[in-house]
Amino acid sequence: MSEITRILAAAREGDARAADELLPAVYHELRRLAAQRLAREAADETLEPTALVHEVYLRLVGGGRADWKSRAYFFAAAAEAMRRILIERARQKQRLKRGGGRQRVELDEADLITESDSIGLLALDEALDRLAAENPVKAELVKLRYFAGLTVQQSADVLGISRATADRYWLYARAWLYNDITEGDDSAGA
Amino acid sequence: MGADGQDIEGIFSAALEKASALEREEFVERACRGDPRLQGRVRALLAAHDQAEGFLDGRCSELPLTADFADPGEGSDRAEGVGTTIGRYELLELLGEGGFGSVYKADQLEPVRRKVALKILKAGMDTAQVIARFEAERQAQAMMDHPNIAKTLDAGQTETGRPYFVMELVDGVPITEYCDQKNLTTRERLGLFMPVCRAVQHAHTKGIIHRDIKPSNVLVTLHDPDGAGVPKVIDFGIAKATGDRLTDKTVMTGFRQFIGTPAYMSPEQAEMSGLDVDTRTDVYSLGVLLYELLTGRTPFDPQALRQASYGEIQQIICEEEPVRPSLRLSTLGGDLAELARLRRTEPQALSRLLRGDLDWIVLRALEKDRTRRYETAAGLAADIQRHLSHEPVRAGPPGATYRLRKFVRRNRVAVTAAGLVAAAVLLGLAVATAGFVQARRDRDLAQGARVRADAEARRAQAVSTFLQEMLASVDPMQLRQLSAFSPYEDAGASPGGEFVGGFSVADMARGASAKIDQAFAGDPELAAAARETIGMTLRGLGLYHDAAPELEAALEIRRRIHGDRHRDTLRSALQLGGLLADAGRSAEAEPLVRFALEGMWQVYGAEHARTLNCASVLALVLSDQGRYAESHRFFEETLRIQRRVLGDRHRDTLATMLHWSGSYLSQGRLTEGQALARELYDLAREALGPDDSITILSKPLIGWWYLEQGRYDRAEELLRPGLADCRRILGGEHPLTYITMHGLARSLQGRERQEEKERLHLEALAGLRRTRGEDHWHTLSTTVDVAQWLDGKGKFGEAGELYRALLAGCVRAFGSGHPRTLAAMNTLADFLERTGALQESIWIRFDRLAVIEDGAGRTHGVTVAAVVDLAEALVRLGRIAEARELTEEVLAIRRRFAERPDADATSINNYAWSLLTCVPIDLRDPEAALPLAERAVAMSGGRQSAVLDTLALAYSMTGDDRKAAEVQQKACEQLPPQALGGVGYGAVLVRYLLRTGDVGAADRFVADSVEGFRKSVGQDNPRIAVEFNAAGVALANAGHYSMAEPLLLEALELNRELLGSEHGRVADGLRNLAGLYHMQGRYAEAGRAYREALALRRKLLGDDHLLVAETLHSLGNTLRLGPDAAAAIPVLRQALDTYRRLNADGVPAASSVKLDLVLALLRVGRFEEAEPLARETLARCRTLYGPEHVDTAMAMRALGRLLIELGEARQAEPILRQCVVAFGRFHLIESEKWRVARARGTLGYCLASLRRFDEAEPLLVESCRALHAMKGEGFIATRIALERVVALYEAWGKADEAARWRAGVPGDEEHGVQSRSAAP
Repeated sequence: MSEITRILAAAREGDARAADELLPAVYHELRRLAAQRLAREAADETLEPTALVHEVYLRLVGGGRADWKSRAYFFAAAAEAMRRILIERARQKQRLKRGGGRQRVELDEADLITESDSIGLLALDEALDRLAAENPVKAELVKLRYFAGLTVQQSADVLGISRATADRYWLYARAWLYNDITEGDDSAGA
Repeated sequence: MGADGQDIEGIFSAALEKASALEREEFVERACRGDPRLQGRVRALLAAHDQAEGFLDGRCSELPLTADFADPGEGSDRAEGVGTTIGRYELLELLGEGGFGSVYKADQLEPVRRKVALKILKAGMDTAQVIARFEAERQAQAMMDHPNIAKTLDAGQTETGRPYFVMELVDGVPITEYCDQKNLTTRERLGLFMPVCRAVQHAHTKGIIHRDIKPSNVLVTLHDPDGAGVPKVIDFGIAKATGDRLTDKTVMTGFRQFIGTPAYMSPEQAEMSGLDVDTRTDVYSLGVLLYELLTGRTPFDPQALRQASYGEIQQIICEEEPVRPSLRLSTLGGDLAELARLRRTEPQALSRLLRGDLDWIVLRALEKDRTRRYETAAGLAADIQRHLSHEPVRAGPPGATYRLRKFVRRNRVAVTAAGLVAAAVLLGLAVATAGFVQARRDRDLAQGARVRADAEARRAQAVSTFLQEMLASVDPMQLRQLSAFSPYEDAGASPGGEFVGGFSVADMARGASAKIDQAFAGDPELAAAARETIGMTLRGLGLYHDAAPELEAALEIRRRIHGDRHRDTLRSALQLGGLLADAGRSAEAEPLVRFALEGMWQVYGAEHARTLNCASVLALVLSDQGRYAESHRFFEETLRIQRRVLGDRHRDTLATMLHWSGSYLSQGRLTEGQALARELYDLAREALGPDDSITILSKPLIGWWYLEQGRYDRAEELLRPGLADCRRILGGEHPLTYITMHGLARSLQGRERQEEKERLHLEALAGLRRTRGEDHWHTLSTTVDVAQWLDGKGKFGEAGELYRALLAGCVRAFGSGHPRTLAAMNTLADFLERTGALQESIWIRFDRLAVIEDGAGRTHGVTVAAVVDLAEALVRLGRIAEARELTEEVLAIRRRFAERPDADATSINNYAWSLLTCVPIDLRDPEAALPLAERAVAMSGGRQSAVLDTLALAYSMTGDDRKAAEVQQKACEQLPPQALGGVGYGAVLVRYLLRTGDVGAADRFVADSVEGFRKSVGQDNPRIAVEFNAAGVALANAGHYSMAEPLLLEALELNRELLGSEHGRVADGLRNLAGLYHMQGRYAEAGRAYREALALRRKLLGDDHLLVAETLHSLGNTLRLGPDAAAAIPVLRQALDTYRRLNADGVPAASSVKLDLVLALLRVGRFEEAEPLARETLARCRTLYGPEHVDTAMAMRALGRLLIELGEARQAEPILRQCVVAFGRFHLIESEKWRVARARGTLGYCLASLRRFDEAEPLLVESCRALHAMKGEGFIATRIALERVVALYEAWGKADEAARWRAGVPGDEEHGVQSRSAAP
């Protein structure tokens, strides 16, 4: 039994601590898998973050066999973990741009391309925190869809809400975040 | 904020529901009740919503993780780095990083100073254990001494607690990269690979297994002084040290290890079954490496492996058969050229190089079962050496089943020959009905046996009580169910397969079975009786898989306690045999039934009812295996005795009639079988009543007969109530119900019933899959039928899926070499060819050949026939060179057989026939064939039509048509009159007679044959229409139009009378007639007939059907050549639209429509319109067939001509030159020769319009003469060519020449007589 399946099993039984353990475990696993994969592939290989989440899921939790509760726990943790990973990387890129941080020899093309994404991602991250303060379920929905790559239906299943509700939440959260981020721009000028 | 937030959200969401911006605005104002803050917030969100379209939709996938991701986080806490010292090593330079950790170039400071590689693993390993495991192997490691091994020297622990390994430093690149960088040829690659094997072998002899061989662990030094790269295997012992102890605790480690390189992992490693990994694991990984060196790909797609779940990875590695390397190449498409370039060769040559030895060597190394691999790495190297020195290799081709298994996996495909379909379906029905009746009668017998003797009555009571108790313990309802369960007698009873109180009878029976041993522990006889009852119950429900073990157990017990000659034993054997026959396993059934029959002869005597019944079953079992002659004898004899002893109205007699009629049906013997079925139906209804199973089954049986004859309306009349009866009596989930449903689906005609037809087809198929299983012959034959129907509707995707399922099923059910399986492969290849998957179709033909060859050997007749098939397919696809190669091989083999001293007439005839008819005509040799054919005729006593036919052809091709006709006449006389002198043989005779100029003799022959045939079968025989139609087509093709027409007309009329005027066969007849008119240039009449056929097909099939598209195409073509060519254009466009609507505009037939449309536009001078279409068609042909196909060449010619007309002759010239080159390859194909000539003429025409007369002249003149010689002066291409020669001389100012040619093609006095090879 893998570490994650063990934790998932415990979480399902109602072990509150297990849920806390899950995030670092999934985070670690995502990092590890990504690093390993990227290291072994050709240099130009890229990984899609959401694909990675699903891969970890399939490998560690298993397709189709896990009950919905395990899935819910897993994807909630995975969405958060992927968010942290991406944010961490975006921050690093920002540091790099400013000449700070760790020394890196070359700035390859891939770095340049994703630079503007980094900014957007950091803004989204902050906006998401604000949304979570106001409406945690919607923030969670965004994380599941955006960072874990779940469909509306899958996200709805994980959150235990209906498909229609999820659709409604999504539209609202998306508008909310968009408004928040663009407003932030304005106020930065002010 | 909370309540406020909810308000905002509610208003926001409700506002989004509003249809218009205005409504939305009004709603927001109203809903916010004048609260400006709320209103402002909602408006802002709504505005954001409008702009946010697409925002976040891409997920974060648009932020791909790039390589920079690999080390942050890990790297930041890395204590080791360049400049630091670890133990005795100073880190100099980072060589590489990866998921495993980092590799540094390091300076070893003591005891000797040298450069080494230091690999530091990631944190998280149990360092102490890693080092301990390494230490355990250190002694052995130290003993390794091989130039191709970079030793692992040391292991230790860094200050941060990570394990590290120290290795010899190898300055090199992975072997695969090296080979591609240096463009090594395949031979050079093998040369480099062999030392790798030997290195691994060396390690093995020291007891070291590598466990992780892959390109990155086999480096080749780049900077060797003498320039030759030296391969070095690195990382020995590391895989083992880092641990593959796959206990629960460390499964994560093993797992991550696992996902690193699944592509190179052996099945035993992937299984993680605790099976010890041994040296053969390295042999497997070497096999993968070799595969990659040869093909540039690993056996299993790394991408797929990466996306697969853990279980799927295991499944792929442990079960999926790798595609053999040579075949893999052909799957690469465009990449193949690059691959070949990297190996300094041509794609074709590369794949030839791999085919055979290297394929087998690689596959042997990659065997799933390690006992079948090379025992050692040295063995692998040795076999490669044998290959390089042209000695026979030890690895042979794998067995046929193996290859077919692999083939099926790869293609997931299937189909069966059209002719097979009907037989299959019918055969299925015959067996099914028989099984059903048999099941019933055996139950009766079992019951009868129970009441007969007192002792048995007691036993029966015990069994019965047991069963009732068992069932009652499940649910009281079921007791009722059991007593009611007698689906055969009591028409009102609820069918056994249905559910009662949540349990089906089947479930109950299964439940009872589990308790028998316990319940009857001391009484095996009772146990046997109980199993018999349960088994027969399950059999009656069609649950063969469940029934078989019960009946087997019963038989086994009875043999043990009663011996072989006891009536209970015999009954059990017959029951089990009947069951196996039901399940489509007739070959297994036969010995059981024979055993029973022999016993019954002795026990009961030959004329006992039971013996006769057994004989009837045996007849059926034989029929099912296609042994009709034997089967027929049993049926005839049995029925005769039954009629005498039991009478016509006895149920057993009627059952035999039912079986026999079914058997006739499967042989397609319409007349006899139908008469029997009718007699049966009348007798059964009278004697047994309308609700008896025999009566019920004989009704749809007659329906099937009508289906066979094409009387769809009558078939439907019988099958529809038949289906209702089946549902009522047998239940909805009975196989026979679904078989009848399938029959009904087949019977439905007319466009308005297409939906019902489709629904029934699919429902029947799904039902059979459920009730019979995927591999049962009924399921398969229904699959073919449904697939072909979908295929016709243009639903290629679905059809393809079914074809695949079918072939897979055939392989499982019958094995690889079975004729049905081979036919399935053939039809599949045809399907793929038709739908444009040309490459795949060729693979399948290759594979079919391989399968046949595996079974029969290279030189067997059937293999040779398969080679001929393949060669012909290759020719159709323009792959002439390969076809030629194969043909040469066929000729060589046939020659060898023909020249053996003991050669028989058939062998000699085969060789002669090949010499006369092989496809590349330069390999033909009529002169050599003639004496051979004469000898074959002499040896066979002049009585074999096939041999006489060959001799006639040899005469004809050596220029003696008179003698040819004489001999062919004899060939025809050997055949019974029913085949109209043998449609094929007779038509050939007509052709010879016409060539001798004796039209009268040809007419007389046809008239005599027709009358003879009519007399022999009787005026009203439905076969007349079928035969006349075939004869008409054959005569038309032989060029005897005047005799063809009345035959086709009569066939058409007969079909109208017999089948009604709205029938598919009438449409076919109209199309044939139209084709005949078209051939004669009677375009107006052809057009009318095509239009009539078109209207009929539309009515029968709807607008969206491939046959409709096809008919539109034919009509368009006729119009194109007729006086009003413009009329063709909308029709051809309609044909194209139809293909498009069917999603079939990529099929070869659709490109051919486009080409004809271009020609039509060209003919009416709409050049601008035609040009883009011509270019598109050419591009499509190029992708579909490549540059060297006839269709591509024709598209080039059309475009070239168009450009000439557009005044762009200069642009046309290179295209036409290409076209001539392309056609040049086809001069070896008889039927294409005239096109070659025409293409040269078109080039001449192009040059003439560029006023390069001297270049144009030879092309035009030669083309015109060739066309004249081949096709005669009336042929349209000849006429055009002639006009162009005249025009050339006029433009050139050579009036004399122009005048000479205006009178027709001048005699050959200047050019010498062109030899003219002619073959029918």
